[in-house]
Amino acid sequence: MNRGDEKGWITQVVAELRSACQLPENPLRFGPVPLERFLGEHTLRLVELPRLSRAAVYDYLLAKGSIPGELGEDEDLAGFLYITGPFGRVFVNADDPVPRRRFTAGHELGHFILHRESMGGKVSFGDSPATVVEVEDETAVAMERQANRFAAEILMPAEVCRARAEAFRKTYRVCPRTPFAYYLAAELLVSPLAMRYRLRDLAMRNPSWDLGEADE
Amino acid sequence: MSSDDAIRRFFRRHAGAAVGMYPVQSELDTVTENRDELMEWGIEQSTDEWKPVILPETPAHPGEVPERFIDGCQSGHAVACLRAPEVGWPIPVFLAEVGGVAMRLKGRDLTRDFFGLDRVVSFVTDAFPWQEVEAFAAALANLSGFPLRVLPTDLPKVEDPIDLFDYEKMRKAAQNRANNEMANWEAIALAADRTTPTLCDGRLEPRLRSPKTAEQFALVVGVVKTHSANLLHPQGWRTLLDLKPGQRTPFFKIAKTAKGDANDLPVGTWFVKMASGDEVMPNWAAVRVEIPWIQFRRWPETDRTGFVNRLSRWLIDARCRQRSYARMAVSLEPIVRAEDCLKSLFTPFGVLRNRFLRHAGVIGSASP
Repeated sequence: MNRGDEKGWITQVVAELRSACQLPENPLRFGPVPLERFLGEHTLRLVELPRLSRAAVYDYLLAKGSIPGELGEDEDLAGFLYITGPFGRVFVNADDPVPRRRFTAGHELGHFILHRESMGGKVSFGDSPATVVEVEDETAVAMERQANRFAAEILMPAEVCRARAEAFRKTYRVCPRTPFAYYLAAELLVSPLAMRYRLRDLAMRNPSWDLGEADE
Repeated sequence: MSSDDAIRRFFRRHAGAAVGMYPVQSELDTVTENRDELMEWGIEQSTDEWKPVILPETPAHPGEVPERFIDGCQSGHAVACLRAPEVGWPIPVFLAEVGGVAMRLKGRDLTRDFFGLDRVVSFVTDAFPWQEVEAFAAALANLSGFPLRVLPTDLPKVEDPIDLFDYEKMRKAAQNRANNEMANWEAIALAADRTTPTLCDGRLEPRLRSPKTAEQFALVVGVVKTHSANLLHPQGWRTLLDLKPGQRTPFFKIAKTAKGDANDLPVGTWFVKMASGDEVMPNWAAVRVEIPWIQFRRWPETDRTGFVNRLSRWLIDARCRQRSYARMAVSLEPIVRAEDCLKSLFTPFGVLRNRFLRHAGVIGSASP
């Protein structure tokens, strides 16, 4: 699958998910996307642990009466997905900032939706901070890149981004990308960096309102 | 579930209580920040031989002085306090109206060219489960007739975790976040016109962010009234303290970090003594002027001293002369007017506070 097809596939999956959960993109509604409800609809329980690591996950699961099995070599984690049958637990590192935690949870939901069928008996995905990347990362392996794209797609809906940019431009005559990204990032409870990349990805820039940035 | 239910639930769950107006307290302990600016002092005068530059009366050339003036304002206060789950840190909830305004000089008139306003709630969100912050932020954003945007705020950086029990540190983090939003509005006001020479009240880096952005603008001048960073060498300090009204220090360059990060904004900068006064401190009435280095380079090296002199003279002529204004000595008349213009658009804070506390289901004291 090439990158274009991959984008289209994930956009389609997220659209179907919104429809199934009856949580459509709605530019008339303000504030962050209710990610918790998407997790709840999939019987995914959320767990926030400080100093998240494979060992911390193992200990937690053991304390909850599960027999975790092999979770891999211990390492610090940003997120972890643990699946038992139709149920699962999404672990995120409680020490991360809230926007980052949400992105990680969206990333783990992405693994659950996109890759559950292809896990071949595997019960977990462990994501180090290096694999949960809020910006485009060419070097990420396919599954991680897809989970990141899924998180961006679900947390920063295209229709909402476009509607906000349009309203912004109408009200203020301009929509400079970086300050607008900061503005919208707060509303959608994501990091400004993730928002900037999302806006760029949506090709929302045009010469009349783009300030031009060093990262381009 | 209504928006109010979600807001009240968050407040109930985290022991939300109203806090009254109070004098700002000092922190238990101040953490010193490591500064990493790179200075190039010896550009106009040799570093060890700095001496005050007397400003000539030469008028500025077209395009050398500002015709547009940008100011931001933040009117806010901590109105409630939550307790972080499990750890018990006090988490002040900072309610504010923030905005930015641009005034344009037309002949002898200053007219409002742009304004943006926003009502925001900032607090250290990192202390709470993200799904609760998500529900709380969504509820506030959809309050009918009174929408509020949550500004997620990181935990303040402390050397010892015990410092996180310091209410003032938490309050300051929330206030700084609101101030950042104000700077964002100033950046938007600045972007609304890139072709007119513009003056901003404060440092340029939060408004322009990168040389690549700065390059797309006509002249942008920053005027900094408070001097928190130590940017000078010993002879530089002696020169600053020796300045008489109508004099300036040599200009120098601040290249922000040694790493040369993409978002660094190197600036050309100097201090100008704006006024004199009886029995005042030696550093009184000195402002620091900034220009993005990438714009500064538009003037040939041989004319940079002349340009700095002409702009400095213009700034002195534009200074505020209202004795009733507390920061008269370091303020520019167009900026004072911009501030007045923006403040007149704000809702009285007592009204904001009472509405917020009512939605939160918290009984507050009488409005301040």
